[in-house]
Amino acid sequence: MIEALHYDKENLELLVKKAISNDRVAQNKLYELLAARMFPVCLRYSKSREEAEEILQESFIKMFTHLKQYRNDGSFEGWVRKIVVNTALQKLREKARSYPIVNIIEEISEQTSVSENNTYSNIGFKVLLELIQKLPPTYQMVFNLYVFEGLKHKEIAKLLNISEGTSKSNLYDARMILQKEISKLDRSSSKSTKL
Amino acid sequence: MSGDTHHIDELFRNGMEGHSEMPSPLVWDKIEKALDKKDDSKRPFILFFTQYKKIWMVLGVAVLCIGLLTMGVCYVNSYTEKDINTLNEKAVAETKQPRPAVESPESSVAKAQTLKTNPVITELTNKKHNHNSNKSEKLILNNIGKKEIQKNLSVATQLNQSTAHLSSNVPNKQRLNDTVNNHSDKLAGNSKKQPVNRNSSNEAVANLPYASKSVPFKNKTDVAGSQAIIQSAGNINHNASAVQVAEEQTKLAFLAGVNANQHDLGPIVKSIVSFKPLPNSVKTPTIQATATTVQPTQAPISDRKNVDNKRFHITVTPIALYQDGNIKIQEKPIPPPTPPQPPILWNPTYLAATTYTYNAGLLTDIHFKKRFSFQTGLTLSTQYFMVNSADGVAVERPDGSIKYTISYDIGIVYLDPKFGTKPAIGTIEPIGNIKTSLKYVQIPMLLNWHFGNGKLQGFMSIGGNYTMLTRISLNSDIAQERVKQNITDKEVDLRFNYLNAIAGLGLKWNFNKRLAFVLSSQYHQSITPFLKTDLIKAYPNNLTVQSGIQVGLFK
Repeated sequence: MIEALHYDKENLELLVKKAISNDRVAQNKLYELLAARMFPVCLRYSKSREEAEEILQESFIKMFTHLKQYRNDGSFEGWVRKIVVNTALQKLREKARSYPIVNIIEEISEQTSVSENNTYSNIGFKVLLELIQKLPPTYQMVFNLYVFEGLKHKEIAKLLNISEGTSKSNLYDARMILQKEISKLDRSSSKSTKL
Repeated sequence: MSGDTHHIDELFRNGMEGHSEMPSPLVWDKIEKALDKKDDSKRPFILFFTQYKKIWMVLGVAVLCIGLLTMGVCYVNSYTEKDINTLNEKAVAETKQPRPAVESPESSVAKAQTLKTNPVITELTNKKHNHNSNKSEKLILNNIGKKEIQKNLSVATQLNQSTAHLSSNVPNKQRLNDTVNNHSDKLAGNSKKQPVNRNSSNEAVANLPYASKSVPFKNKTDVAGSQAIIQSAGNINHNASAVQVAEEQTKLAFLAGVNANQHDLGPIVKSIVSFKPLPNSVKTPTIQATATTVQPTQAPISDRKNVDNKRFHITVTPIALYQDGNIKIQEKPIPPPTPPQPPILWNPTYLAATTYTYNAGLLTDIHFKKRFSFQTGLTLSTQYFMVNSADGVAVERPDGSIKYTISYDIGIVYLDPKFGTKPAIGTIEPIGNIKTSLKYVQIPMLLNWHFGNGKLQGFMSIGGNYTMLTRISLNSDIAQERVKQNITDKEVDLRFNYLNAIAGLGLKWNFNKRLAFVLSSQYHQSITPFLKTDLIKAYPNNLTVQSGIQVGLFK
């Protein structure tokens, strides 16, 4: 069981202070408190576990280096999460430049039959993660920022340096792809039960 | 599907949010290595400083104190005699009190010889002295030959037509005394030379009147006729009876003359001195002496460079002449009444006096290299000075109580790297902003320690301050506002540069991110040596209390 970030504010402040003083023990403690929550975030923005670990490593190095800039005026976890997301986006942007998306759009338009009565609540984290990781980098970024970070299209457009319209269409396309993949999963699972 | 894909969002959100998973243990190892590498890449000095903070704190304060003391000692030893002489020469040139003229021994003797052959003197010396005579005699000696003898004055002798102060510093004193001795023999008709009784005291003589006066010439080209009249007065014997006083009065002779001012154009006054006992109380005999110029000088007064040559001086010095031939010369004239002491003039070098200062300024704070902050700014100060005189009365500046100063600050602050670009709680920052204006350059060396948190913060400072007065300050201020009197133990030699040790304490109340109220106090202790003889004085201690509002414009 991963220990939740149940530190009261005072203890957390003390821990942060020590970490700023380059106290390795304090830094390790902070890492253990946050890594479990931040790693899934890294997984959502990456294509593989190794890549996610790289993002997590870079994020924490950045965090400890700039820890003195934290002004104790908001959630510490939220501040760290921003660093993680920005680091992940940086990596994904590099990938997005070379990733073709034309084929996927054509593929989506051909698939139409989706069962609306199906329920997908039994789909686990791993499966969902795989589905997201299959998305093209740009769709992956937009989907994550919209669904998990709660950003609006205007903010996403500014962050990714795209237009608002592009952000909306990317999100729609991402949903379509994910919908299609989930349908595939559903069909394959119903086939197996019949058998 | 018509586009209803929002359930997808919910599906993924519910299925993925809240999930926790640790990465492989290797991740932390890599993070640790990377952080170690970053630390090692810092400059060794900073790394060493951050690791042993407390030790460096103590060492830093100790080094600063030792450094200040060393600088103080070096400063004392390096001050040159030339600087003192320069100041003293200026002071002498600007003094309002002209020096009494001192006649050369040769001219004094020559004049004494002249007097000896003067027919009037000759007449007097041949006259018998009768101290019981009711006749008063008044003797006027002049080179024209006019004479007048008044009753009740038995003997009046002018030994020297030009006299210096009969003080112990008179160079021709020995010759004068010899001349007096010679005259005393003749006057007393005593063939034996009686030694002048210089050393024995005489109560009557001790209170002999004395006067001196300095008079400007009336006309620009002091033609004959300029006059100076003075009166000398004083009690001969407070407790004596009228008879005794009358007797003593007959014994008194008065020596009067006109000082020949020292100048580069030769003697300027040919004097005439007359004596006139005024009809005063017998207990306060008064002698009036009149000196009149009879010859024009060689050069017009306006052309004379020496300020002393624009005035001539007349003095009356009493001499007691006794019947037995002993003459008691009042070697030291009774000093004139002490004029009322003027209040201590404010000296702008009294940077340690009580001041009320109001500052307003702009300071820019530019961070660079993460460890340094470059500060520069302009401050306008209005200062109101008060100085305590010797009797404890507060005195204002004679030229106005308020002074305005514009000073320019420039400096570099080193910041503890652990606390980033701004000093946070618990930091120690060495600070040294150079402050300069037209009159001085001030270099502080301070260690500031911040403590507290949140709304209320405190700070302490310890260090020193090195101030150098500029020539602009010294030249104008020596001439105008030099203090000569009331030298007390508390006054400190200032000269051109001086050192202060500083200790301070302050509070800062943060209203919000941009606005704060600051209250602080600093104590300056001068550590330059104490000398009483120099012209520039300053008080050694200075306690300042400051309060103000800080506004952060661009944060």
